[in-house]
Formats: sequence, structure tokens, C-alpha cells
Amino acid sequence: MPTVHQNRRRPKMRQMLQQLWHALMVGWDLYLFAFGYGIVFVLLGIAAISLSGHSMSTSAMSDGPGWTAPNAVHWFGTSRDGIDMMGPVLHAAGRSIWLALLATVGGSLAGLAVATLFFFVWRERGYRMLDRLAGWGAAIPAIFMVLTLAAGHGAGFGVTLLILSGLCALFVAGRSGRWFHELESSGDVLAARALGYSRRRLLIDHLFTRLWKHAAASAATLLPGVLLAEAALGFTGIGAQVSPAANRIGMLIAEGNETLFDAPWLVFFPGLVLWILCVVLATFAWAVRRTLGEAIDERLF
Amino acid sequence: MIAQLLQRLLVLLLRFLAVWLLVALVVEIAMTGPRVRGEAVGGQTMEIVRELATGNLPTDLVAVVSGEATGVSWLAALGKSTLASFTVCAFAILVMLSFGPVFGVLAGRYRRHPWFEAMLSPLLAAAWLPGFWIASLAVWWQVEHWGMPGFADGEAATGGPMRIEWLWRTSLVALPVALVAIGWQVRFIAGTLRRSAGATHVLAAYSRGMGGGRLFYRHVFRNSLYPLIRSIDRSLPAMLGMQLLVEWAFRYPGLGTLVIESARSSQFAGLLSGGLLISTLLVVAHWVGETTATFLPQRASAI
Repeated sequence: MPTVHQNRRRPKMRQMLQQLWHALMVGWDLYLFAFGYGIVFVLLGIAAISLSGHSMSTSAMSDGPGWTAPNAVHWFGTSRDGIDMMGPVLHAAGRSIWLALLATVGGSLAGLAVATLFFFVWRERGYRMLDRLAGWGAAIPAIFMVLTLAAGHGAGFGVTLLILSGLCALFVAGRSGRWFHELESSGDVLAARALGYSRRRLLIDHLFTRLWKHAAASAATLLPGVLLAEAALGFTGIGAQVSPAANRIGMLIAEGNETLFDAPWLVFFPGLVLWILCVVLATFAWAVRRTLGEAIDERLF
Repeated sequence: MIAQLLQRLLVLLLRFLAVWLLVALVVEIAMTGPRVRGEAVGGQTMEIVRELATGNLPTDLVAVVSGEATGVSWLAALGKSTLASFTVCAFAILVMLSFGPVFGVLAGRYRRHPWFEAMLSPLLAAAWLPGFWIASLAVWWQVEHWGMPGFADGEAATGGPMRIEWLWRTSLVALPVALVAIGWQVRFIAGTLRRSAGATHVLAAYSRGMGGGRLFYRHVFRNSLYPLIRSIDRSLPAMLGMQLLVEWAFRYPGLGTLVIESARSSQFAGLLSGGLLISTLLVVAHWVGETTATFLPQRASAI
């Protein structure tokens, strides 16, 4: 028999707090990842905005070398004109990682939108077509496509964003076709179809509730690869005639490469920061996939 | 069997056509750029193909790609670069196959070990190494610690660890590529085996008292042969992509240098030829992987 205490009506505020606490406790691991991503992106975003960009262009150096090897004061050493390299490296890393994030999120949403269009119009035939298109796309290394497109259109922030988003969209559209195909043949969707649900209701009530997990895990998995592709584009200096990849991590490594034998730290630290970022993002991706119960193809990881 | 093989050959032919068209499309899109050598040159794929077949390498590419001062035909330069790149690729695949499958299967076998994830973490880190950065550091290390010419276009070695010149050059390009590929392959194989270990027939065998190595090698490993074989050709696109960058970073006279130098100077003939060669190799590798898998026992290919 319930006690008086249990029967007493709880205040609304307390009820809300309890619901909030419950929601937080249920998805605590996801919030933790969001917090982790937030720290990485916010800190590097602040670095990208507040720290000034800097070019080590050798042509601008008239006087003798003024660089200093890494020491207790300048952890990343200094450039030839005496600038502490930590600022430019973090600034470039911030710009690159935000570009990669925007490209991944934009491309994933675009890919998902394309697959959704196919869900309404071409259905099964469309899914197969998307899957095949993505398969053909996989026969050309993604980095080759990035370099080729940048050769004609430049490597500026907007163009790189567009190129990388397009490639992500191609990949995610192919994947989404497969997800739609799998979900449409699952028991509850078949039952809903038998009950006469409209395509729109089917999509909102049954497919999107599961699709977002696939999409989130896929985007998290793509992110470090996109960052690496962006850095490779900056490193090669392709598209500089049209618009160079200014103040980005790959370009910083390429500039350091020009004085590799005299000041190796100008190559070492930007590359190290890039590697650490890729590993951190890949670890987050692994954890996100695991939390969401996703079995994404490990070759992407 | 002959009918099946002919059918597979027809599939290969269709795939070649599709992928070549895709490469041409990518190059065409690139050529519609705002300023390519001062003017848009879209719609010239056929002219580029003609130039590739009969023309000479442009002067700004000759010294970088072929190392010669006089005019070299596109075909000769392509042949030389392709041979150099295939040597590196073969070496990288050899290194990858020597370590990747062994470590991958071991990782799958000891997946229940409490330190499993920690043991795999160095491979995760290796899989995300920027190969072009490692190549630069390797060049610096050679010069700094061995006093040897670092880049591939440096003077020939006379002693030290570089006695067999071509082998050393090839290894130096292949190892960063292979290191990344090993990381990817181990994680792929370990993940595949882990998923296979949760299959119903494995659980059934376990419930009947089978366990340990017998259960793993007889039921998990054998049934994962299809994805394990496919792991080789599936890791190839990323591997070749990285190889392009490492070759250029190391100034190795292969396809990577040809493609990237062509892209830097907006020579779309180099990009088209490089893209066609790479995509052809990838389609063939994919086809070989698929065809090999069709000859596996039915239960293995069904997973």
C-alpha cells in the first residue's frame, strides 16, 4: 500500500528537475562525447579567431635567420622572423578543423537529403543506384579527386569546403541508400506499411529515429579523414594560382618543409598537432560508434 | 566455370568504362575552374587524350618528373612513373600482408583480453599518421643522423644503410604507406572477427562446450575468410591516395610526383592519365578480390 509520502504530489519544479536528471543520466555518455568535441572545437575555434595568422614565406626574409629551437619559453620554437610558432600552429589547426567539421556536417546532411529524396521518388531502384555510384566513387582515391578539383578551382576556404562537402555527400548518400534499404525491410516498417502509413509518416516516425544514429556515427568517422585530406591539400600547395590554402595546417607543414634541414621543428610541430587531432577525433568516433551501437565498416576508421 | 569467368570479365569491362568516365568527369569539372592558365579549358578531354598519346611532357614538368633536360614523351614518362610507383605499391602491400593479417587475427583471437583496446591503440594512432609528414621527418633524419642525401632526387648514396640505392629509396616511400595501411588492416580484421564471434553458429558451438582456439579458428576465422580477403583490396584506395602524397613529399619519381606536379601547374593531361591508371588498378584489385571470394566455400562467402 502506498505511503502518504509517495502519494503526495511533487512540486512541478522538482518533477522537471527529476526528468532532466533522468534524461541526463540516460544519455550521459553521449553528453560526455559532446562535451569532448565541444572542448576541442571551441578551444581551436578561439585559437583560429584570436591568434593571428602568419606566413613564413622565405621570400620575405631579407635578414639572416632569427629562428630559435624549441625551449622552455617557446615550446614550438620560433620562425625565421622570430615569431613564436605556437600561435600560428594553433591558429592554422583551428581553421583546418573547423573547415573539416563544416564540410563533414554539410556533406552528411546533403547526402542524407539526397537519399531522402530517393526514398520518396525512386525507392529500391534509387537505393541501388546510390550504392553503385558510391562504389564507383570508391574506385578513385578521394584524395585524387580533392587534388584534381582544387587544381582547377583553387584551395580557398569556400572552395575547399565545397569540394570536401561534395565528397562527403557522395559517400553518405551511398551509405544512406543502404541504410534506407535495410530499415525499409525491418519488421516494424513493414508492419507500418501494411497498416497504410504514408511515406512521410514512415520517414518521420520510423526511419529518422534510427537514421540519425547512423548519420552521426558516419559523420564522426569521416571527420578525421576529412581533416587529413584538407591538410594534404594545403601541403601540396595545389590551386595556389587561383586561391591558396592560406593559414591552414597543411600549408604550415609545407612552408616548414622549405627549411627542413635548418629548422625541423617548423615541420615537426604542425604535423604533430595534426596527428594528435586526427587520433583524438578518431577515438571520439570510435567511442560514439560504440555508444550508438553502430557497426560501421572498420576500414574507415 | 568458364561461363562464370566470362561473366566476371564482362563485369570488369563495364566497371572500367564507368570508372574511366567518372575520372574524365572529375577532370572536366576541374577544368571548368575560373582561371586555369588564364582561361577555362572545359570540354577538352579528347584533346588531352590525343596529347597524351602523341605529345611531349611540358617543359616545366620534364625536370621534376623525369629528371632529364630534354623533351620526353608523355607515354615514356607515364611508363617510367607507373613502374616506379608499382614497385613501391608492391613493396607496401608485401609489408602490409606480412604484418596486417597476423596482427589482425591475433587481435581478433585475444579480443576478450582486458587490455585489448589498449593494445590496439598504437595501431589506431598509426592508422592516422599523416604519411607526408612522416616522409619529411624521415628525410630530415637521414640527413641529420646518417649524413645521406635525403630526398629521392639527391645524389646517389655511396655507403651506410643506402648501399642498395633503389631498394632503400623504395622502402623509404613504401614504409610510411605500409605503416598506415597496417594500422587500418589490423583494425578492420579485428573488427570483422569480433563481429563474426557474435554469430549464432558460434554461440551454438560455444553452448555445446567448444571454446578457445578450436572455436575461434574453426568457426570464427574460417567464416570470416571473405571479409579478410577483401580487406586487402578495400584498403587499397586509401593506401594509393597516401602513396601519391608520400611520393611527392619524398620527391620520388613516381605517379604521385607526376600527378601532384601536374595539378600544381594545371596540366590536366597528367591528372587524367594518373587518375585513369590508378582507377584501373583499383578496379582490377577489386575484381580480383571479388572473383577470388566467389571461389571460396559457400559457407565462407555467405557471411
